[in-house]
Amino acid sequence: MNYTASKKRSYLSFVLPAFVIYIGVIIFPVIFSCALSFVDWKGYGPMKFVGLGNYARMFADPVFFIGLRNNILIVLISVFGQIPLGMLLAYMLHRKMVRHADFFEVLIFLPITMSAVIVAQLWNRIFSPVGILPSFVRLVTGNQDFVMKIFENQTFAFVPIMFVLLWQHTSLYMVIFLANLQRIPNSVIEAARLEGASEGTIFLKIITPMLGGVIFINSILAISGSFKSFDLIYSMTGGGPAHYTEVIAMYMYNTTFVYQNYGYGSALSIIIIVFIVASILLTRLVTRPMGQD
Amino acid sequence: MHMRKLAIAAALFASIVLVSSAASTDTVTLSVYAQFDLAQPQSAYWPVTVDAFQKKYPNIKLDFEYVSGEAFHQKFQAMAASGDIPDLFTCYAGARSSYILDRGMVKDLRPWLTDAFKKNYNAAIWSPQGPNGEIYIISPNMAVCTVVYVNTKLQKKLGLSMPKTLDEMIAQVPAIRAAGLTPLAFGNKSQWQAQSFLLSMLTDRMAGTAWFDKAMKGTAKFTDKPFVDAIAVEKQMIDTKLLPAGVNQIETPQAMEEFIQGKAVYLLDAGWRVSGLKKAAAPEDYAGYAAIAFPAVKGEVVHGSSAATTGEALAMNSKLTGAKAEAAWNFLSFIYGQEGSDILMKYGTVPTYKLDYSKYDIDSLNKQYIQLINSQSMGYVIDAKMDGEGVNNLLNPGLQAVMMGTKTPAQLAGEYEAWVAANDSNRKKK
Repeated sequence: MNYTASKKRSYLSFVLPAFVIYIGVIIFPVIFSCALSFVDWKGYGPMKFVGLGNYARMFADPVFFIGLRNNILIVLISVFGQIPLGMLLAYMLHRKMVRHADFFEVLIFLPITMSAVIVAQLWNRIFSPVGILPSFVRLVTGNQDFVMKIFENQTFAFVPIMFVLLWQHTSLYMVIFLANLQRIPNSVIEAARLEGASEGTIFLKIITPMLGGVIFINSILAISGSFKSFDLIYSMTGGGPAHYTEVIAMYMYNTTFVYQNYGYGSALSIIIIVFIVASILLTRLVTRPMGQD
Repeated sequence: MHMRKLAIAAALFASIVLVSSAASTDTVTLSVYAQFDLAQPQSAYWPVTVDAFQKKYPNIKLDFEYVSGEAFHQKFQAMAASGDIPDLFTCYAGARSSYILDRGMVKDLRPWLTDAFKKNYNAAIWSPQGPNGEIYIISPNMAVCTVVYVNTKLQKKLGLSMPKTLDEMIAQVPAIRAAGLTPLAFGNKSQWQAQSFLLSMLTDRMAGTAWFDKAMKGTAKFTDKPFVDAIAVEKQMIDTKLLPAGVNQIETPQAMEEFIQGKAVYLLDAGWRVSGLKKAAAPEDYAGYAAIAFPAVKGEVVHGSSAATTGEALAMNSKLTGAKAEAAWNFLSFIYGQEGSDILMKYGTVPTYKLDYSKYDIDSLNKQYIQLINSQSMGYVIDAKMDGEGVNNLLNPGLQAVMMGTKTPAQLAGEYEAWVAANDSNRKKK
């Protein structure tokens, strides 16, 4: 009896500190944020209970829907762009399909090591009306009004940002895939080749299913990262022009801290959590046939 | 003998301890959170001012944190929410700093502001800044938000005259563009410039401050014709190609760069850009710059005005007391007093502290600027008067939408009025 009690105390002494920290920094903020989403509060002074008012406002707010659309676009470019491309590049480097594979590995990995602010400045200097690309086009075509009009197009203003996200983040997934590819025995691939399988067949029928678990993990990383996207977009466009490149995390931040509307900002943050969890569950469902379990 | 040596050593040790402890109690450390971009040419005076202060007050230690632009406010709002703010910080005398002013986090400076002290300054800065007449900042300069800078060399080269009306300026566009130049350099990527630098002045021209006072109270509406017309002028400036293509993708420093490089005949910017131009332009180019009021707009009821607000300044944490408060006051009264204003003037910014201008070697552009602002009336800067959420989340992006043709001026005015009527604190005041 004493032994069991002492064992319990030992377990508790190990688990409790981590549990308390987890409650303090994860669970409590989420619950507090959820509670705040039902009130009108400036961050100081009295709170006013508004029920589902903040959520009703959200679903009537055009800026929220622009943000949501852009977040979904980031999820799509992450899951269907960065992950497949990262996997393909990893496979090409792993199979030494290019010469100087180590050099290309470093080259592809480089963008992820750069700060998002630097990346934003770099691409701004390329795309801006006084930047390299428009200046070059003006010089060649003689059209003095040439600017990257895509940034002013409500439908497509987000495309250049998606391109930069693809350029910067693909390498992270490539490295994860590369590390996992190195764990697959060569004999598997050699056996397939002896059986006459083409490189494409090996990639699609053997490698991809074997990396099912990694694809799932990468998808979770991509989805949660997508909904939290902030730094690059904030530095590159600040959500403008006219909210065209707004994302929910940025809108939530501005609403909460800049406009001091803690209730509405909390409702937006709760929606981010809901979307992340729903997307991950959906991914789990989709990747299950690939053997991630 | 040993005892004597021991006694001397003990006395020496005691005196060292006493001296060092006295020195440490005399030294006061102040944390300063300042909105400065030290890389900008107009900030060049600041390190010189701080050095001069440190020489005069070596016992006051200053721990600076510099953040520029919108990021300054974002970080400061988070600090304010946590209830822990630095000893001194940049503060605006209006809605821009409501997140600290409304929380009572800023010290009222009136106990230090004697009549003898106040008479050294332009009286405009002593207008009440709080609901009970509080004065939170000693504004070192008036933030004049609309000035048109002219490259007179380019103007002469192209055979253009100084435009008196907006229509005359627009009439010059074909000649300027034919020479491969930008007519009026302007950047609105950060969204606030089209409102602070342009719409605020245009609203004053079309309606005047009396109308704006009514609009704040709700006895006039932002859907009124003068406000809609003011927005429409911005659209006209885009449609006639007076403003550059992609104006909503250009940052203000990039627009200034275009002007300095001689790629634009005119530059629409704020008054505080004078010192930046002086620092960044070649002296022979700078000598050819002129400063004029925005030209007359069809239908205006106020002529030649600009929009201005008292410039931001460092303010004091309301929790400061005793030696810390005195040290903070010494710092504020130095940097915004005679010594600091003298340095500011030498670096090309006209301070609110009254100086004998004859003692200074004032360049031609600064002379013109001083003459200009002394001769024109000043309208309100919208974001200094109205709530930030309506301005930043609706009006500023809305102006971009109007400029890009996805919203009409009337539509934007209607949306803004609806927001103000439902939410703006000015309308809720009894």
